[in-house]
Amino acid sequence: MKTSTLIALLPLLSALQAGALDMAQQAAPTDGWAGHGGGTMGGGAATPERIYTVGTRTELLAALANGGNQAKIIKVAGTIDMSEGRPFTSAADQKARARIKLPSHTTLVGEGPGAGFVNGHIDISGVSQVIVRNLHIVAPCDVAPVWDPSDGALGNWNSAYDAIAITAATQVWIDHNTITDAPLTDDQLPIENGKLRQCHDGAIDITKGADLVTVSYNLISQHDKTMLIGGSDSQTSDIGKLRVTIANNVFSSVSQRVPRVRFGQVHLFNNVFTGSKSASPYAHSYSVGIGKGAQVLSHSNVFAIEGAAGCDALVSYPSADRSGGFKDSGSTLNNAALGGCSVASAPVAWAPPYAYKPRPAILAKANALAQAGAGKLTTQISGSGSVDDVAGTKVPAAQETDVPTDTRLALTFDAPPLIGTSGLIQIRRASDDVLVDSLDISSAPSASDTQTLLARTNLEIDALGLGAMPENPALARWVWYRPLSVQGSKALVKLRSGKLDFSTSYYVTMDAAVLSGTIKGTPFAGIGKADGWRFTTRAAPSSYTQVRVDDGGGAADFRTLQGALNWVMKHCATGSPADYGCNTVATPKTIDIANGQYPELAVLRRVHNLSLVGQSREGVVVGEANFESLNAGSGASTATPGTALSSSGRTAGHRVLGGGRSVLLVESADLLGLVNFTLKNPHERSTLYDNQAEALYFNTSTTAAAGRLVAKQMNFISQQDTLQLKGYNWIYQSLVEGNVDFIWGGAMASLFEDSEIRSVADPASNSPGYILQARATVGDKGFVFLNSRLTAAPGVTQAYLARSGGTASSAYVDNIAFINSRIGTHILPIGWCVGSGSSKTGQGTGGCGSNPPPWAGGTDGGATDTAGWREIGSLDLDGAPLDLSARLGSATVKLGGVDKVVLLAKQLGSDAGLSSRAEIFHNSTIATGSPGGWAPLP
Amino acid sequence: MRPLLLKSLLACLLAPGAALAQTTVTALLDGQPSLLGWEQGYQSGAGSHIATLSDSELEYLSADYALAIDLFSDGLIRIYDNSGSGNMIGSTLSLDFAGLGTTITGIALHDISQLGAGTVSATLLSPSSVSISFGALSFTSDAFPSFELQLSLAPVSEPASAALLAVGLAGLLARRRSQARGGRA
Repeated sequence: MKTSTLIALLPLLSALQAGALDMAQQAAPTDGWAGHGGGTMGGGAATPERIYTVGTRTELLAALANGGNQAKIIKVAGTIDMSEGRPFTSAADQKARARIKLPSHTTLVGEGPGAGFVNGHIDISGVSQVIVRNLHIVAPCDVAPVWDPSDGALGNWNSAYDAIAITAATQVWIDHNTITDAPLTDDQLPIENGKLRQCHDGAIDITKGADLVTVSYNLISQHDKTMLIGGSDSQTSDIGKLRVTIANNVFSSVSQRVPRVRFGQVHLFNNVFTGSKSASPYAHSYSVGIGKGAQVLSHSNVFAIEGAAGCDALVSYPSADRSGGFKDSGSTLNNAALGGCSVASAPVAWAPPYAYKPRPAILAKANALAQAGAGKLTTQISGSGSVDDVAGTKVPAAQETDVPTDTRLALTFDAPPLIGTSGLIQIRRASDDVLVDSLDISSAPSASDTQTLLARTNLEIDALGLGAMPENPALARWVWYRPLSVQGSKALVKLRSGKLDFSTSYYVTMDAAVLSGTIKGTPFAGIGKADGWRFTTRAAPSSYTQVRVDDGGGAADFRTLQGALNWVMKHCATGSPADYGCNTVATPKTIDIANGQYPELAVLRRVHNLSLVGQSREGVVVGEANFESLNAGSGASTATPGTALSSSGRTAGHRVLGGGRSVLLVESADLLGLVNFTLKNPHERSTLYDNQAEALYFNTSTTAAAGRLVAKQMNFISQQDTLQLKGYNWIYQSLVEGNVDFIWGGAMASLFEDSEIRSVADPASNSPGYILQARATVGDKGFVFLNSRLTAAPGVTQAYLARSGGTASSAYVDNIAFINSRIGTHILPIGWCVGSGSSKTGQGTGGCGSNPPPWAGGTDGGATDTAGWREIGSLDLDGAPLDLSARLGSATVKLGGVDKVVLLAKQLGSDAGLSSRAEIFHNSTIATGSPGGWAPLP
Repeated sequence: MRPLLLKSLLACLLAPGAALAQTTVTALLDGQPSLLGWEQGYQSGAGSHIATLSDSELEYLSADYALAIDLFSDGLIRIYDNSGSGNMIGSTLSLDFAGLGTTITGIALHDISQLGAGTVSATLLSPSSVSISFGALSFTSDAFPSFELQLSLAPVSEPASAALLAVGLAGLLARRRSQARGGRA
């Protein structure tokens, strides 16, 4: 019952193919006219800075405009609606907005299934070397078809906008696209003047001297006029042009012009035509129309047209001119040989100058049906080409008015530019050329540095708040910062804080050395006064107490947080003239921050009752990277910048200006509100640097009269030292992220209520992190966590609740209490970190490195009901009681060489005094002058 | 002229008529249901490897489009190189003709005149299914060449036929080796 056959022949010669090119880089095949005469590469040779990915009309237009005439690849991701959801209102509107005008040396490709256009019109005119592949294109519908009474015996409607129009263009390859009227098929169009008010024009029309075109593997379905090759009998200049190969396409339910040819040498092979003479809509009229001088050479095309009997039902002369011809071999009609055609074959005397090999009809049919159409290819190509803006775009725009005084400058390049190592960026007052700000990209500003770790070019000094602190016009927070940055293909310039006045015109100059890159293909050569990058600032805001910040283009009082803080400080600080009416805590002040990115350092000094309110918690992100090695110390405002070089740390020899390492430095402000935004110090810990990097340093006194901070629905994000807090702080329904000592400071009472404290991975160490390092003031509550959650970000498996910063001489105490909080499994069972270090309590004997025991005050430094490391009611993250059997409690310390047992951490029997805001903030006196005056409400 | 021996050998096994017309074919390529069938327009999807046998349609393309399989109701199987390279990578194709009114009694090479080098073997798996395996093949042309096999459909007494076929093939093997060495550079 088993039969087998076997032949064995010589081994194969090696026939391995070389690594195939990405689809976006391929050239037109050699078996077509586009492969002739040097071939069609399109933009396949694009370098990465001219490879663009676009998902919107705006991005597409930017990509089309950028990069000059050099080779470019534009990858379309998803469907781009060229109307952007706003229907075209007129012929002029449609003409302007629907057009996708492709420049020479361009490859436009769909990323994969679903990529394409609606309401778009691809215009390939007067150019060469263009490739369009893998796009699903809904045939555009003309919003204003024109009635032509002379079109035919009864007149007819004519519309514009081919899906793809190729006019006077050469070396064009249209491949693997789908073009269809659906969803707006012709049966849904109205009848007017007795005729269908046809709004669709051609699918792929090739006219006006276009030449060397290959149309392959496209699927054109549900469409009337499919391919017009040669638009007019009178266009005799088309003679010798319009050489087009049409191969391996599927034309399904299309009515006519598949193609309709004048003059051209058209090579039609291995296409599949399906449809029906009686279909509605899209009844088959004819397939191939032979017009004046047409020379159509046909091989092995497959016609499956219901109701078509013989070649004459497919191939015809659509006009009186009989000078063209159609010559076929191997085609079939409804599974039989095509048979004889009335259209003459004699005029077709040419032979393709390229090699080609048609498939047999039955194979051709399967092959085209399988492969034709969009979404069957995918590309992995990616590059850095700018789609943000058209290259050369400036912010502010030349001649722009009403520009906020704290505007950033931006200039868009073709691709991300490189930041130079020398040169000046300057801004001058237009009226008198007075220099207002000058940023030196060279290392000159840090000339006194001896360190080499931090890059010293593009490193400038800012004086945040200079001129805005009323008690001393010389006061400022002095910090090192990087004035130039690159975001996408934009160069961004941060001018110094507070340099521009209201209602004043300025102009910008840049030395050529500042940036290198190209703008529309031309190398950046600097910007001079004559280039006219001039703008005028807006008038002063109308309110001192209510201002709005928006980093984007919208109308706003300011573009940066510091711009708004300067305005408020100048008028509403405790030292401001009372005339402004806002210099006390009695007057609330608000800065509203619109969604956006605010990469800046900021300072606020001596303003009471100010709230910074974000538009959304995740959408407003304030802060740029700052850290100990860049700006050493906690920081303060000073009248002059420091000049001494750092004598220790990894950037010893770096000048310490004094403004410190936090993102937001707050000095002596009472009742500061931070609401509904993200305050982030993006510095990541690295073994190269000293990594202390506060998102916020709230600096006030260490007395009962200290200032108050209220943070609600906030995200505080950093790694080491995220929050340094003094005074009275209520952190409510917020998130704090970090890894080392990320909540710390000389607090009176800091309450974290209903908040998430998230430990994040430490890229610089494998050791467990520490949430807290309390340096609280004796006699108050310290850091209290009430109904909060301790969670772990991915990659974090171990962390301690706290370690002590204590040395033998310190006055502060380790007051921390976790009250009814949920604690994740990343917190080690022992909880609190004590190692072999020393404090006033003694020398530790624990296993947590060289960290000292805590000091809770009292006689031996041990924890009590009101001081030290404490915990009650801890739960796991699911709300079940936590097993605290392994928690640190009494432990041995060595004091004067003698072992002594001290209660280093205490499990409380009661949450008395720690269960409400009123209790926790009871000692605060600033509100009323005596204790008990502050019990904040949500 | 090389296939003559095989053809004459097969002649006694061939069944006349169109016994496979309208048969449902289930095809696996290298054990996978990846083939693209004609009734689904050669698009991938569940069940695309199941097709109704039709003399006017090409039943299957492989998912990489390199291989095409055309089946005929008289038991002829034509396998095309659709890549245009003139080469075919090795594969195993199994064809199951479920619900067949008759039985398949054998499978043999048919027109292999375009084959240049490589190995083809075929196995009758059951009265309604066969397996065709080929190593890397090269053809004498790159113009979408093909090779053919033929199913025998008549219910004949198998043991004698099978033995006869095996003898014949052994002879063919030797002949083709010597010819092919001189035939290809």
